[in-house]
Amino acid sequence: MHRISRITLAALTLAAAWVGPPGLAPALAQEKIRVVTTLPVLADLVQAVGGDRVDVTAIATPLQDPHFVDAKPSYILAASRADVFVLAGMDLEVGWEPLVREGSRNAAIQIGGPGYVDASAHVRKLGVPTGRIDRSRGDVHPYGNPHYWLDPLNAVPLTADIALALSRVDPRNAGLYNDRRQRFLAELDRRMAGWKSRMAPLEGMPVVTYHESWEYFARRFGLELVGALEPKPGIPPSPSHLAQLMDRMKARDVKLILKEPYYEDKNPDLVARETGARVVELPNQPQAGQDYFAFVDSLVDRVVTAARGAGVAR
Amino acid sequence: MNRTMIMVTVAVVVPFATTLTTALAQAQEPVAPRDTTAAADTTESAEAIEARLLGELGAPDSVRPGAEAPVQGGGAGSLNPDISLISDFLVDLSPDEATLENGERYQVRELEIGVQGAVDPYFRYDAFLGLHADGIEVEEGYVTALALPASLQAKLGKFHLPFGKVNLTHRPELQMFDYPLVHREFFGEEGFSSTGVWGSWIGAPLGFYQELTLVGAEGIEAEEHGEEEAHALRQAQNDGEESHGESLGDDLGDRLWLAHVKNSIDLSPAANLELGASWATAIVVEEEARARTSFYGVDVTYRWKPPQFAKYQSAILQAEAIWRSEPGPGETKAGGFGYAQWQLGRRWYVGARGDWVEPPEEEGTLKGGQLLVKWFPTEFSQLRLAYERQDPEIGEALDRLIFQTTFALGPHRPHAF
Repeated sequence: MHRISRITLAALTLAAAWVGPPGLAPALAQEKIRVVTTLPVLADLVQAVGGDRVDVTAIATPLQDPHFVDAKPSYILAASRADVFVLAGMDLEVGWEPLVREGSRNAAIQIGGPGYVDASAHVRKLGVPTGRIDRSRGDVHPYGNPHYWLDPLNAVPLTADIALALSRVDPRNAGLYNDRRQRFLAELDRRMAGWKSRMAPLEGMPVVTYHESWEYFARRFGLELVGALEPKPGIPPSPSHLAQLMDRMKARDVKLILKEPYYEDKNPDLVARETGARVVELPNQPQAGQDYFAFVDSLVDRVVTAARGAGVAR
Repeated sequence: MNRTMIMVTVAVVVPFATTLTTALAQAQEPVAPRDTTAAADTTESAEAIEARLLGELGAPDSVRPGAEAPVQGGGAGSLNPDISLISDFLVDLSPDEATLENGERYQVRELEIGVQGAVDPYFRYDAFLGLHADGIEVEEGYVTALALPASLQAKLGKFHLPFGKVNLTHRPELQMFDYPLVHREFFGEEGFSSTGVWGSWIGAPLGFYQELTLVGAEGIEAEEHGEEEAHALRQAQNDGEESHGESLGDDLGDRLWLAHVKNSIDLSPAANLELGASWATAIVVEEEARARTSFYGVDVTYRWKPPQFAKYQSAILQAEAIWRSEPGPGETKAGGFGYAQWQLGRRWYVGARGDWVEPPEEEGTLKGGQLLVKWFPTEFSQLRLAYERQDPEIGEALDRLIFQTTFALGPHRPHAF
């Protein structure tokens, strides 16, 4: 080889290594607190507490399974500039969050740093496994079921931890964060009454889910979880498990199957056809433009509408 | 050093040094010098608000009515490091003759033990020990300094070198059943690794992710006989014996130097393009010959995975080319591979690799390729069937069917994207 290809190589390396003039980073103009969250729902809660004092970005998209997100370098870059980093915790994002956070080289957001927020820290956890834990039980979370944001009352400790972190990195506006949080909680109280009254006719209704992600929601609104399409957490449905599940669904007269849009349709549709139940698509994250209240509104709407359609509630 | 090498060195080192200087200068500025006095429009002090929030969080049962009793965690938190094991088991299903080492048909190619965890708030440690039939090998063992300023990170110890993309992955976790021919011929069966110091910087001066890495390391540890000879050579030098050609001396400059630039661009929420360029120079000892050898590499990886269907659909297109250059005319050898992978469903993948390399010790080109079907019962277990073929132009012809399983026990740290 090949003078030309070596020169080309040198040129390529040069082009790739050129790092541009210094000082382009918008550090000086940046007054807002930069917050990166793993999930859209956490970004909504940060926005609720921080208002226009925060510039918040979520890593996962609303339609993505939070268990399976790739630790893309662009996320590492976002985390490297963050003042505050909020994760759901309880090992939900264990497959990617450590790479993003540690890869960011940002000391402020490492465990124990002022900007590190494990949003699960003060949540009352459900589904904490007892007895021996190993992977023969599937993708079981040792700290409990991590889908806790689906109980609206868990927004109380969540926003407290967020307000605390924002006050830590921006003490000047602690009063503002506190006021905004109090207003949020007042609105939460008001909305909660509405959601509870809408869900009241469904009290005790048996439902089936695809994954064990609706435990907190079901518990808060009095739905009874009869089973999941997954035989064990994270393990795809098998014909024998589905056969047993369908028998149980018929015996209990289950009318609703709750599933996230990121799961396949084939098995839920099959079970629905065989048992006469309906599939309710429930995103477990707020969609673009939805705040936390609109998100819970939409969950309640979908469940109530489907139940009415199935003749469960009037 | 020839002119091209100097050019490339300058091209890589100068911008890196500039960036470091700039970044360090920026790091001198206080990070978050925010005013700690409470805003004028609130009567409660920041400290009082924090104390109240802490009080609220400290007593979860009093937070709201309807509270369930708090459940204690599952006891998973402990000070032990994460310990994991990956087994790499092969069965040679080739119809004619056994192609595995020692004519075996069944082989535990490797048991890889990983011990990983935080040392303290400033360092983490990652160690990977490979257990083979002929002993234990430290595959990697390095400390990572996490608390450096200015987006810098450093590693000290033994590690896979950041030359290209594939080389950073351990063999049992490769997308393919083994390293590409070019890696095996240029660096060794288990890739390109060495012991030394690794420093890297990340940033986005061009608006997308860039990572610059510089490594100073001992040398090429690919072949065992190479290591022994390097050692013998050093001994001979210390004893005052003369050696012909360029020698592996005690000077720092005689060791391995490597630079890598990684560029990662999100083309859409589903698609990502990674472009990298690598350069390394080291004394290579092979049988009687030893010479300063330089390596140049480019790597391209395109990944596609629609977020909503991330569990069911994905694709990878990947290629690397590597040039190996020794002083003297006609001593540049080249090699490369292309790999494509398509996810058929939640558990099924198919992949294909095309390979070519000009082996350093032989004239001619070695060509090969493999087709793979992979089945993942879960992310922790994998069964693969690989058909591999090598062109008989030089070396031995290979036409084989390999069944491979890899199983991962324990909390193995996820791999970089």
